[in-house]
Amino acid sequence: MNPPGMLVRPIAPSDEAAYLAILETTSAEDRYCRFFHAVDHFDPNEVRHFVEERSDMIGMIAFEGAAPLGAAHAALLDERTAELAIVVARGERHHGVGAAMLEALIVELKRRRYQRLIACALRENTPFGTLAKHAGFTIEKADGGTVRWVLSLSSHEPAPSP
Amino acid sequence: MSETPWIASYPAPARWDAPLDLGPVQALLDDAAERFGDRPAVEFMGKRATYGQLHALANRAAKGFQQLGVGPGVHVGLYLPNTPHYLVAFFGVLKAGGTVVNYSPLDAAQVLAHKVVDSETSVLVTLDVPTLLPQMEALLGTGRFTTLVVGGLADLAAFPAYADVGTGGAVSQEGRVPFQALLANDGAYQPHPIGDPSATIAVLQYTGGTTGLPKGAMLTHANLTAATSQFMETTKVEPPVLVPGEERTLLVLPLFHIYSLTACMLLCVRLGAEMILHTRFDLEAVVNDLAAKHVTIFLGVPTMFTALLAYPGLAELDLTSMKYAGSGGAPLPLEVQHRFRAVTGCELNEGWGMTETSPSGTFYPMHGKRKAGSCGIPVPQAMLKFASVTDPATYVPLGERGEICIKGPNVMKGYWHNPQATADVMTADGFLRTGDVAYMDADGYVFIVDRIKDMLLCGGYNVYPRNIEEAIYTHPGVAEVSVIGIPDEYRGQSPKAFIALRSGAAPFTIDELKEFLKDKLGKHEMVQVIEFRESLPKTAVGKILKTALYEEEAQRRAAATAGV
Repeated sequence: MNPPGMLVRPIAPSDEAAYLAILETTSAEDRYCRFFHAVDHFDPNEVRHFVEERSDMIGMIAFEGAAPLGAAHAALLDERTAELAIVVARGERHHGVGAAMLEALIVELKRRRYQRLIACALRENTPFGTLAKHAGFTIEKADGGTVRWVLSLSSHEPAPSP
Repeated sequence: MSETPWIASYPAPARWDAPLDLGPVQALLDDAAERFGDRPAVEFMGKRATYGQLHALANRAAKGFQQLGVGPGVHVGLYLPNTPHYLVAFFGVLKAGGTVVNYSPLDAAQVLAHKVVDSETSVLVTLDVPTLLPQMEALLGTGRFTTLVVGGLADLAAFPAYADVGTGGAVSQEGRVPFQALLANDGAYQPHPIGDPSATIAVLQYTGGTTGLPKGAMLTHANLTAATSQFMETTKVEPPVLVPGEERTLLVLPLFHIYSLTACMLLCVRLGAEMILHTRFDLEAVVNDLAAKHVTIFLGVPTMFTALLAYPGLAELDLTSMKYAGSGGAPLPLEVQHRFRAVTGCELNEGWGMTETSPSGTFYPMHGKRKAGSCGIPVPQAMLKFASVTDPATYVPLGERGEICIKGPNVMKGYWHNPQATADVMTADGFLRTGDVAYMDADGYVFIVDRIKDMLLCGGYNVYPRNIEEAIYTHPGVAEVSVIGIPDEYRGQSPKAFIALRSGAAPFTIDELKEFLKDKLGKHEMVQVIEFRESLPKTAVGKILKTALYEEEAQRRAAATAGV
């Protein structure tokens, strides 16, 4: 269940400004965790890539009123496996935004009969590690500073509210 | 397998459960002066001081530091190469009751500035040479940094017989004190009992990380004396090879590095060994001194041994005085190990450790089993466990691969002013997570197989690609960059940067990039190779794929080797 006042819905091209606003609140550390490199500007084409309707990606965005809180994406790698990425606006952490968006993505992926959701995260990204463990992910591999998390969607049950 | 299979691999008379000396670090010099007062302690550029003289100079430095306000809780930086100033100041600070903060002459300006503020350095000792003094003069007045003690190579004309009268530690208006003025006193300093040696910080030793600026590892008096004691125990064999008061080492590893500080300097003081100081690795000078001065102990990093063995006149030199040689900082190629033994008749022992372990961890028994590819067995009183890489909260059985976790009297107290970073590296049962992945065989020998951290080992130094990437990103022409390590025959690994340029930006040469980065990166972490790409490989959700870059690089090298 979403936290009170939070709306999570599929992302749309009209969310371009909202998505950019979320990215612009993030710290250098957050951006390194999201993109695995030190992003100091956001290319408009890349921003557009993550809000447009695509056959190879599902996107969710969270709002509280008009304020964008975060965005989550699942890239559809093949017929069975998707890859997760999440960004939550600075100041909106620890309020269940990431968990709510992840749950919405999982529901949609299961509806499309996807079986595995993977996520590559930096080892030091402990906020994601906490979220992933709570959602039932396990670590498949860890090397060179990155951790590969895996969630089996066929056996996944929604995590209880924290 | 037992929980401590390595105990059976200890060659008598060395013991894993040997009692360790956990006391004040400065007591090592007091003891050496008492036992070996007339024996040579330091030799530098033809000048020599006995342990008695070194001890007296350290006492005078202690009084000089106290006149400058140094005492418990006061942090004194040492920004020095391997000259006698380092030894005198190091023991002087500890005797005065202060804490030493080591600064690396390799560091970039912004890292030096961070260390000055973060460590709360009040007083700093350096030399009046162009590569050191201007950097610290620029930082004087930053944070708590108010006093700069300045030595010079000219000081060495008088070494070790400095005048014991003069102006004392008077500070000039500019905050400067000549090194000789620090010593212009009778040496009657006020001793400070350190209390619990496991609680009192002797040295703040900065170490890099995958994120952010370096963190100060708090190494207590007990950490450093335990590590010294551990190293001492590991050299025990029957009949004894190392004889207290009789040994001589060539100390070329930089003393600001924990490996040199503990395994070389403190071990040699404990042994009453003579330390021949070299300020840099000049192969000709090192080789000549090793032979002509009949050096018996030599510690280095693999690059030094590789260079040494490639020295053209090596066959004509007699290096058979060598009794104990050790290599650390990076994996030692087996071929180097074998060739060194053939040339000197002395085993080249490899070990593993890190700044946070002061830096003892594992060692190779001098007369024990030798196993190719292993870094040896745990040092005395150190416990090793292996955490699951897929679930770090659990340990895997000994014999399976896992992240090395270590507990022992040599493991740091924590990171200075950084409880979160400390908590991140400690397990629930008090072991330090090291980031190195290894397994242990049935004899307790450790084999390192992988690294969890995104870190390179370049010439024995830890180098973090992210620091390099962030520095390169400040170049106006760079849109995206990713840095990986490529094999380097001499340095082990070198940083290579893959760069995507901003639209319309002109490419640049590696030399132009190095010039741009010279104030932003340390010399040891400078990028060596660049390759421009239209774009960098990414996952479907836009994360840069370093693994793809590593694979491409490996394929390219394999093809080149095969002559394709």
